[in-house]
Amino acid sequence: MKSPRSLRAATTAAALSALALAPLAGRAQTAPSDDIAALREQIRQLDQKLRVLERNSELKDEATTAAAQKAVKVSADAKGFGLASADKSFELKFKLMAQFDSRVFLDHDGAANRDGFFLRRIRLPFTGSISNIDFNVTPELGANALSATSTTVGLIDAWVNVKLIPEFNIKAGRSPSPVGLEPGANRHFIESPFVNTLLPNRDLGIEANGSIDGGLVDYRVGAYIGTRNNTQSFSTDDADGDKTAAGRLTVAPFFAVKESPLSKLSFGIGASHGNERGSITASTTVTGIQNYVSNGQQTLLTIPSAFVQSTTKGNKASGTSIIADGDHTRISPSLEWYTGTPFSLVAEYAIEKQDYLYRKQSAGTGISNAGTVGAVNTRRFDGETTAWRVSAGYVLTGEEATKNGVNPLSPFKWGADSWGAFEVVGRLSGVDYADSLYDTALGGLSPTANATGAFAYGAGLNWYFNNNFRVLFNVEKTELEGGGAGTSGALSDELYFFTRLQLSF
Amino acid sequence: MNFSHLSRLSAAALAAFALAGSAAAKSVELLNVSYDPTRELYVEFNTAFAAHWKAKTGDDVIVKQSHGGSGKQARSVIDGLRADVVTLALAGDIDAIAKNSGALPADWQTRLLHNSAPYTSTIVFLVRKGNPKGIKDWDDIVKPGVSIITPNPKTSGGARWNYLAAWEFAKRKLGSDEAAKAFVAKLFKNVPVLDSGARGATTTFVQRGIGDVFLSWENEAFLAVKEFGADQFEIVVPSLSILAEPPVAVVDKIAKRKGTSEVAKAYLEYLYSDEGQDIAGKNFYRPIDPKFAAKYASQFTKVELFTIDQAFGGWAKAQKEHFDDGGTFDQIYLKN
Repeated sequence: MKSPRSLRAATTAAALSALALAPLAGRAQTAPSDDIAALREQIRQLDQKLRVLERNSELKDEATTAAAQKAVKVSADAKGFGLASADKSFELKFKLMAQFDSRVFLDHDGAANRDGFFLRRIRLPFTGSISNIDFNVTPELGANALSATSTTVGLIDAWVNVKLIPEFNIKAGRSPSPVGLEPGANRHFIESPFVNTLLPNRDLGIEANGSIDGGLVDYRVGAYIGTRNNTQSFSTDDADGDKTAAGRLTVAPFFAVKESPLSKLSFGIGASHGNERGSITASTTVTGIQNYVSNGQQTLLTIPSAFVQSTTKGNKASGTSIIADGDHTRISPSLEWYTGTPFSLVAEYAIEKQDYLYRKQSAGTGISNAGTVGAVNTRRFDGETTAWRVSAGYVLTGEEATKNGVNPLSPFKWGADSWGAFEVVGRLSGVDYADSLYDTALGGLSPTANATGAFAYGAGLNWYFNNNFRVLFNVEKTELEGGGAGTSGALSDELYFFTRLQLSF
Repeated sequence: MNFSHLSRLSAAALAAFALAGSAAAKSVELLNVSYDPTRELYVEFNTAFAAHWKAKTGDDVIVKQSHGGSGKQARSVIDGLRADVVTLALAGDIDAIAKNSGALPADWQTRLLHNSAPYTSTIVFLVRKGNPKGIKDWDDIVKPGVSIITPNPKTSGGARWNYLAAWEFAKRKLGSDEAAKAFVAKLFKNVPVLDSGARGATTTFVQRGIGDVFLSWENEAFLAVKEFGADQFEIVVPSLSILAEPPVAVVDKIAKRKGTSEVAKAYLEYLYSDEGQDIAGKNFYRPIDPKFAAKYASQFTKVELFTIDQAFGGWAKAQKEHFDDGGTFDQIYLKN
């Protein structure tokens, strides 16, 4: 359909032509002057009608533009579902991360009943911003909700970040601890490596964070409750009333060198220092120390907590406990290199130094309320545990390996010869528990009945169907040093085959 | 020079520096949310006020302007536009701000002279040169074949003045509100385009060449003739029109939060000064100061004027009866 403006031009031209021809026609047949006047009036009215059409169209466009500028924008894409105000001062995004795992342990001398399926993580992040305040509230509905055995819905993240200037923001709430690398740094493999068993997962506190010089240096530094290794913060972690200072500094020295693989190379160092204290009462011992697990999430080293403080004569209860009792320091340097090519590399090291208190109570002698109270031995000591890992990946289909994964150039489509992207990965990792834990002369753990360290090596294939769905296959072997794992019997090694289906947006 | 002498000198230098810092000129920014046709007025007035404030206090003041249909502007302030002052077309719009946002007190109109209206205006007809449709008064414009340009009373303050002026003329001539309603209905039947504000309506009539008669703010009509030439347009003054009193007010809550209360108050008070009144007259507003009203009397045609209080019992009543949802305008326009 022609625009009103072009209609007006055409009609006016036709009318003018008619008027121009009128004198010629008049030679043959004289036209009354009032006919011409009527024609002129008709043209004038027609012209007015077209002008009105044009103007109303203009006003409608203005109104539509004004309304669009105020309209809420709704989005649905690979990054989730979202709502945003027209000026983007209010934004809300609804996301999902769902992980369905299959675990098959191929070593046959370990504990039974470890194989199975389970929903590892079902997270529903609600993220967004209000003016200059970002927020994140993420419920956890999967097996990771509160503990490895709990199925209660928990809150994995809940924080607000007040953005003042790029170099200085304030964040408060529960979020990934700054001591280790951000979640996603372990994306090469399904489960986290030994390094994560020395570092807190999430912590609750307040921090300053910022990015200097557009990303050359990023920092986080804050005060936190002080969480046990490899866990989120639980209220019991703050039972000691002490806070932990923690932070991370990340430097990307070549970030400004565009088009260079080195531009995405970053070095970081995280650290924490606090005072961790477990507690011992007549009925319970809280060690304040998380048991150490393998890369296959099986318990490698259980910290004893059987001490029961008894002052009753003749009481036969006895036991040993090791609890956190003093300074707890962690340092973790790291390297991340997402090269802008199919190749990626991540390396981490962690050293943890903890003050411990060893308590042993022997059984009392005699009959109840008579005889002797069991002797109590206590010993203070400290210990250093170290862990490391190197993992690398290569995208066979040629796409760029990023921190979040791989975006396939040809997303999987059945029957269309389009298979997504494939990435092969490998990982080496190791852990060495504090020697002082095994000082049997002073009542420590038995090095022949407990693992003193471990070395793991593994490989995998990650299949990215599209930006949102991926399947991961890992096989990894862990060779134990020392006597074995946990309290369920000795293991010489751990060999597993894990599979994960992950949907995220 | 020993150390104690040096330290005394240093202290004195620091004190002088601090005093100099406190005496340094401040820069203040005001937002004036105004109705549509006042652009030229406030360009000139803002320059004058800035010079006056600088001379008086040494501080710089920058006045940012926002213009639009008066009702729309009031809505914007209610919705959060951070206006230090509002200079709108009618008191009802500022009443709406006070009622819906609590940003200024209900008795705001008593704070400045003349019900907070430093100038007045009225409604006239702007017609094409030669007045081809022979328009002399309100009843000429409702004849069939006459195309009228007026903005939308729902959004434009000027349009509401237009509407009420037509209504009162018809009521006086025809004898009843019912007859007046029918008259105004006929008027809107002749309206092909409804702009949201007075300036948009000026654009429609003057630049787009639409319509036979433009129901215009008096100042807007004069500006159109001045800008586009007396060979293009003529002003026709009807026998009866309404005394339009565009009021001004400080938006207390916002000015207090921004720390601009003192400047905002001075800004509006300056509209009543000799320079303010002179600028108003130069821009074809009717000054309220008798000295300047006399100075500019010859540029305005004498016309019988009635006030909103006299004819309609005030803006609150008029707004409710005619322009709120379901009012007479809705009844007329939806029916059309």
